[in-house]
Amino acid sequence: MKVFEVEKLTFSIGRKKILDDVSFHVKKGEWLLIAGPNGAGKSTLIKIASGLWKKESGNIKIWGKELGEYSSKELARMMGILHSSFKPLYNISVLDFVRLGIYAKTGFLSFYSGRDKKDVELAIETTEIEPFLDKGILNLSQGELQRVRIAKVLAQNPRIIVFDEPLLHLDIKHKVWVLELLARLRASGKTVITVIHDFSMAFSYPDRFLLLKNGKITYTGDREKQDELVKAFEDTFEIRLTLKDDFLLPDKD
Amino acid sequence: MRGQSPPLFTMRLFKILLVFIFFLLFSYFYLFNGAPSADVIQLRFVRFLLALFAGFSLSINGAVLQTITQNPLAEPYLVGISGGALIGYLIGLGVSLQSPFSLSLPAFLFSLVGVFITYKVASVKGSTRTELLVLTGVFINIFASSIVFLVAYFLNLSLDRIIYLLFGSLNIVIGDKELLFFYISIGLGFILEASLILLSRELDLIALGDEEAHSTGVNPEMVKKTVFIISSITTAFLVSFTGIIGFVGLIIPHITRSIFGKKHLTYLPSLLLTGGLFLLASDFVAKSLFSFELPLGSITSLFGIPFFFYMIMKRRHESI
Repeated sequence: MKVFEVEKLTFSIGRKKILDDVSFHVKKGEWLLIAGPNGAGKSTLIKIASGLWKKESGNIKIWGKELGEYSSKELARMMGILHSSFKPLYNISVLDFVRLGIYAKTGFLSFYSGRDKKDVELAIETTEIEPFLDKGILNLSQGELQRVRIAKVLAQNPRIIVFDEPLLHLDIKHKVWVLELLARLRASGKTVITVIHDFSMAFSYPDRFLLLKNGKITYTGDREKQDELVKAFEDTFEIRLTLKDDFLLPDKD
Repeated sequence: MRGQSPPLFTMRLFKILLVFIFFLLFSYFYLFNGAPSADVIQLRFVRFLLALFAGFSLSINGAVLQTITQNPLAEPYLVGISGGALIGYLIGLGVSLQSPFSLSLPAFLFSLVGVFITYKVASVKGSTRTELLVLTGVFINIFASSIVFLVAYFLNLSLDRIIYLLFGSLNIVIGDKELLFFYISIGLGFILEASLILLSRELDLIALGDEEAHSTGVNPEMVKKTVFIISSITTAFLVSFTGIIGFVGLIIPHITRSIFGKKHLTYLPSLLLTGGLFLLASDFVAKSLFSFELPLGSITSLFGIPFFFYMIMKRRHESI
């Protein structure tokens, strides 16, 4: 079952083509990793595929239905997105912040129900943020903040999880923590899409890869033909790589 | 329980109660001081309602504009809504409209133009740049002032009228025939502003950034359009009656947030008390400090401008 299907997606800013004829799909319960050099169009792809920006041409289907046919709330009930930039205006408490995650599941001006409370509690438990629920979101360390932001996404209880650069600014402990959490979420049946810069570390996790360069796809497929995959990484990033104990590392020679 | 601070909720409730009592006492004083006759009370009541509406409208518009532009310095005056409204008002005068009710319409149309220009110029990648926002707003206001003087020259407006347009005043006369219409319009104005409270959760999310709001299920563009239209209608109506009253929308939301917290659902309704109280007090100072009446906007700016500098300095330190 194709959860996410993108066909011939094109997007430009001015005359510059940011995305050029991009097509790929993700099946239910798969983990797709999107990688590519800086400026490849990865974040743009996430912004368009999540409905935040309007596409220029092409098709995006979620569960077989056009993206444009879903309302904002319907989208948020299906998809939990973690964007890479985060600039809040006010310093609200972590608990208030995480609770905002249930917005799409509630009706007009309705308040906190029992089931929503369960979702919030589960999200807090999963991300282990209990100790700083009363802190302000602007007073957290990068690692804490990322866990809190992930908790808000999980409180949405989405079936598709889309994370744009979830490892950015994190120390190694938190990087591993995020990757392991995503692995657990996929194991529980969720579909995972991530843009990850640090592919050396994340290489063993995903089922499917999408490599982008200058807005064009350079590789898409699973990890069955490993040599081909490594070669595609080398070509896309213009660097020699070796696969060592599940880590895709730069070659020193 | 020893040494424990009372829960946050009780503290908030206590603060709201305190401000509410103070508000009631001052309202009573504003309406009834000096044993006035029934006629005077009626005049004062009209002025009281207008002050309350001005305070609420300017502060709640400031508050929601700050949220949707992601900019703590936004307010109807600084984003060019008031200036645009004034230009529309003067064009209305030019084509010989007389009543503030009919002048509200051109004022509304031009306030939309004002805020559209400011927003387009100042927004870069979804959030507005403070310096661009303030600069554009200020230029729209200077433009409005120049038009005031031009129109004044051609229509022979009195100096008093010019000052009241540019600096605001609650000193209006409403004829007996128009009184009912005035009450209805003010009532609608209050309802329109209060309807912004229904957007509280959406605003909570937009305060986290457009991307965050969108991924949680809010359509930020829709909320922004609604807010721009509601604040333009209400500001246009207000400017047609009182002229420009600056900086209320900057100071009051900021102070109210620090007392009542940042959740829009509690913070927005509280602006009726804090904004109303501030405007009633400023108006009381404006009319009773000297034997003649001072323009209200000069009193609010007297508080507002030092506060504005304080905010800029604070932001400058935070960005280092």
